Amino acid sequence: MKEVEIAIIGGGPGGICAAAEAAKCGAHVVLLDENPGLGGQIYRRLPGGFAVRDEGRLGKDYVEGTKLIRELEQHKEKVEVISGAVVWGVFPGNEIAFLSGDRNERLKANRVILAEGAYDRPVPFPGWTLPGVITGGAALRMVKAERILPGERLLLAGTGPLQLALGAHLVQAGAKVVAILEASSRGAFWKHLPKLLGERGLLKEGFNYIRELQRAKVPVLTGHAVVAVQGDGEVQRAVYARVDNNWKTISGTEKTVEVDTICSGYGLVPSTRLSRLFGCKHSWDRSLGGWVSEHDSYAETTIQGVFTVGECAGVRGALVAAEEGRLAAIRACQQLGRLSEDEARRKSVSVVKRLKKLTGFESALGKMFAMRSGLFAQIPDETVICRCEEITAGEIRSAIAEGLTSIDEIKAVTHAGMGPCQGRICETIVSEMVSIQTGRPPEEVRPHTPRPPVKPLVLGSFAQE
Amino acid sequence: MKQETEIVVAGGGITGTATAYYLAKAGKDVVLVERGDLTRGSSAANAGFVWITYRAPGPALRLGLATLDSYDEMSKNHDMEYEKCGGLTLFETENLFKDMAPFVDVRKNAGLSGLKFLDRNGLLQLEPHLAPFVLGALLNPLDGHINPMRAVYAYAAEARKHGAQLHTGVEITGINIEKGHVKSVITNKGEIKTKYIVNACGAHAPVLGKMVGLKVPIGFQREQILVSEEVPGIVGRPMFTASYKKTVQQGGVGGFTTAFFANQTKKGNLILGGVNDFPGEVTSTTFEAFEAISREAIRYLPILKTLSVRAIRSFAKFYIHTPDALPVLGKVKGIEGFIMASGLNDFGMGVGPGAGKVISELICLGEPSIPLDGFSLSRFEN
Amino acid sequence: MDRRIQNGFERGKSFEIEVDGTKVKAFEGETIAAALLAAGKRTTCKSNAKKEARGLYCGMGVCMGCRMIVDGKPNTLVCQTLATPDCKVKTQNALENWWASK
Ligand SMILES: Cc1cc2nc3c(=O)[nH]c(=O)nc-3n(C[C@H](O)[C@H](O)[C@H](O)COP(=O)(O)OP(=O)(O)OC[C@H]3O[C@@H](n4cnc5c(N)ncnc54)[C@H](O)[C@@H]3O)c2cc1C
Ligand SMILES: Cc1cc2nc3c(=O)[nH]c(=O)nc-3n(C[C@H](O)[C@H](O)[C@H](O)COP(=O)(O)OP(=O)(O)OC[C@H]3O[C@@H](n4cnc5c(N)ncnc54)[C@H](O)[C@@H]3O)c2cc1C
Ligand code: FES
Repeated sequence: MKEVEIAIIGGGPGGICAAAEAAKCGAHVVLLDENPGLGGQIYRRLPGGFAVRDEGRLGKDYVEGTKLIRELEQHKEKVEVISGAVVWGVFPGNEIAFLSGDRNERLKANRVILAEGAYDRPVPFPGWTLPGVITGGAALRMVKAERILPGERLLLAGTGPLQLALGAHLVQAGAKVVAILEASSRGAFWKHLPKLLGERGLLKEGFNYIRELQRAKVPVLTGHAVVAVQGDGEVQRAVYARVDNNWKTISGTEKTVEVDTICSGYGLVPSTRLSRLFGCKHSWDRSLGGWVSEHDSYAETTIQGVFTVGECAGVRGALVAAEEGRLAAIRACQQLGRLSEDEARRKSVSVVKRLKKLTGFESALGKMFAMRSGLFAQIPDETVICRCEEITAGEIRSAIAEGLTSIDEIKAVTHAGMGPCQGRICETIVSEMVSIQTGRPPEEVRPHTPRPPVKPLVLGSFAQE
Repeated sequence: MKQETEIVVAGGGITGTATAYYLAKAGKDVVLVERGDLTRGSSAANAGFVWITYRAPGPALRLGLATLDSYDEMSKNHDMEYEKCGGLTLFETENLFKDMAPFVDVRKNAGLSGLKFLDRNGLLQLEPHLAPFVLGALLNPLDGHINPMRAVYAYAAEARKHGAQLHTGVEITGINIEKGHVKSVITNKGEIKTKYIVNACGAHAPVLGKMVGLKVPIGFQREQILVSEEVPGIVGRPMFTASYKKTVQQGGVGGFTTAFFANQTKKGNLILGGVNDFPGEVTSTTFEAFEAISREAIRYLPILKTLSVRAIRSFAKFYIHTPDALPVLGKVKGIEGFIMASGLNDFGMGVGPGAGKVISELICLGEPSIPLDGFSLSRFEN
Repeated sequence: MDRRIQNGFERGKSFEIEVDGTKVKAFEGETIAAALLAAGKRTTCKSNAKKEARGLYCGMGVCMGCRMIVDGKPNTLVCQTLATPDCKVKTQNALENWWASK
């Protein structure tokens, strides 16, 4: 089995910066990512066959991504990038198992940096499984990377500034965005937005987005959310309404619009499957997106030698991910003897400084755009919650009523969370539902105990004897 | 939680919940305590084979038959996905047909009259996806499968309905004995006065034994399994190979045994096994088991490769291992009120409810309908 | 409406893929999901239990919604699978049309 000093899982800003920094400190690194190219979600590259003529026109994120990837390329001899590698399991002794195409491979790492990122928070409403309802992230990927409009008449529903970016990208590319529904109240949203954009270095970009939306006459409706989506087999129209402070629909305010696509963007959920497999301790923090690994100021988790950086350790944006990646790399290199304690401290000073500034603000932001329970409380009984096993809200509620209150128990009895997505979609919803129905805070609802494979594993991927 | 009861059942697996159900149904005052939740033990993590073929004619087989009756009864009110669809022991060598003949003969006379050898053609008619090297099989039409978790929850629900109290998150930490009689159990949530304690703690039964000074030779035998995504009908009934493979790991220690088995749930997930070993109280799954199970599954069912079928889950829990592969059931010498209900090895789903019924008879009537002498703890004394 | 955006880059080679027997245009490096969206096709499969239409949702290989039969392999996630010249893509009808696909 191949042995490396540091294995990094995830090739977004967190993983790229961790790899680059570690290489700078002299360590040998393997960087694994499931996609064909580096960049992660925000800096996803254009498809392999595309030729870029003018990077500037692809937007600020693209340019920033290129910068980081170039930095990494300067350390080619130290960093092995394995793209198209789906990590499906980790085993004792820091053994990392991954699928490379249809083949199974394994490597052993002295130190592991997890930079798995996050995924869009699933929020169910009647009709949310219809083709044409996609996540805000999926829409961003299509319009920013694949350069394809996911729909022609779209409604954006959710919370947070990413919706504005998405809306602007869509109208720029010629789509009709009928409205952007922002669940938080008007005052809160517009008051905090400039500060937020400023801190992320996106003030100019942000104003451009807003100008773009104004030019296209896209209404941003604060205090609104989507109530239901309808259509014969595919999305044809959406019903939306005003919501109260807890994001519960105010009845009587419903309106219907004809649309072909709904982009549901209620923030992100940290990906913690691998850190849970490692046995790292996790705690609940709504402003960070839910369950996140506990870690020290160097991003090291409660399991020695295992670090979590970026969104998988709490949703705080790409800039934090990048800095955190660097910090973890410095610490790991120190542990490996590649840096003296002094060198490590010197190297980390500026990183820590930038990080402090970013994280101080980001958590305030997280709180503001954190989910409210009203949306979950009002899900009708017949709405599917677990998309894989097709388990409805009613079935889950009756299991809770029977006294089942841990995710594992509800999974055992209803099958919610047993399908191929391994509970990524329904886990957060079910825990909100338990919390609502039992009055317990979500941190008391025990999450799944994940096991490998964290991504479906082709049985035929092992060489026959 | 009650502070006084007549019977405390320790362990919320299939054995404990079934015991509590039969006791409550008989009008007894029962409290079941489970340290985790009802999915904590082996009963929540097994392949769901309801097999009685391999029980020895006599009391063991009768416990199996009683279990089938119990499932039939329970199925009237609960969808446990129980199906008496038959079970197959796969033969890879011609010798097996001959070697197994006496085994089949004795069972035919002991209640399993439907046992039948299938040649390759007969087998392919039932299971068209099996690879050509499988030459035939032994079919028992009484065998079948169940959704084990649903079964546990069904017995738990019925027990409650009949007045039993079930408490999860309650762990037994001590047992008070006075003058050779059980007086009370100590739990992390307080003391419960009781006349009886039924030790249905599965692989952890020795811990309770130790509390009263008993040596219970039950051990942790880890078994690992893979579960596939939902696929169309690939196997029609649970099947198990008659041959297993031993893999000795580097240095000759810590080897494991691989034995192919497959079952398909109602929803279409394949349950594929299995690898077992003795690492102690460890429930993680290993890369080696993934590799071994996947390879065997594809060797027996090549269609899994053609369709590129994927595993979505793995799990590992314990067979409730005893040295002679027989359960440990019934009273123990010297401690009045302490009842063993464990040691169900790899056949808890095929015996647990029957055992629960018989334990309840032992307590309620003093005399069980199936003799338990052969399963007493004292058989291990020498 | 051409859903493919043109701005600051050039697409690579274009070719056709076959979707339920119909030709659909795709470009080198595009995912099958992108080619389908560009062609306005949204339903990728019928769900196993309720037989309801499903399509792209997460766009990142998490939700398992975009399952199709690609070159005979069922449950292929088209948001994570690149289009290749002449690849054969079929709408997956729950567990029903798996065999015909061999
Ligand atoms: C779909 C989507 C689109 C987004 N678009 C934007 C945007 O346009 N603008 C913006 O400001 N923010 C966007 N975000 C937020 C974004 O997640 C962060 O700002 C940033 O990408 C976080 O960086 P990261 O390094 O923590 O993780 P990511 O960038 O998410 O990188 C994690 C990487 O790890 C890979 N990975 C995860 N698990 C495995 C595994 N088991 N095996 C192999 N590889 C694995 C992922 O595929 C991914 O490439 C988006 C988020 C999502 C989910
Ligand atoms: C992978 C695998 C596959 C299997 N496949 C099959 C199969 O196909 N067919 C079959 O018949 N059998 C199978 N078995 C075996 C079967 O699972 C067991 O025989 C059966 O589950 C035993 O049930 P039980 O109720 O005796 O024990 P368990 O289900 O283990 O229950 C014991 C319970 O006691 C609790 N407990 C322990 N200590 C305490 C305490 N101090 N206080 C309170 N509670 C306590 C535990 O938490 C546990 O929940 C399989 C086993 C495994 C691991
Ligand atoms: S859209 Fe979610 S996996 Fe492809």
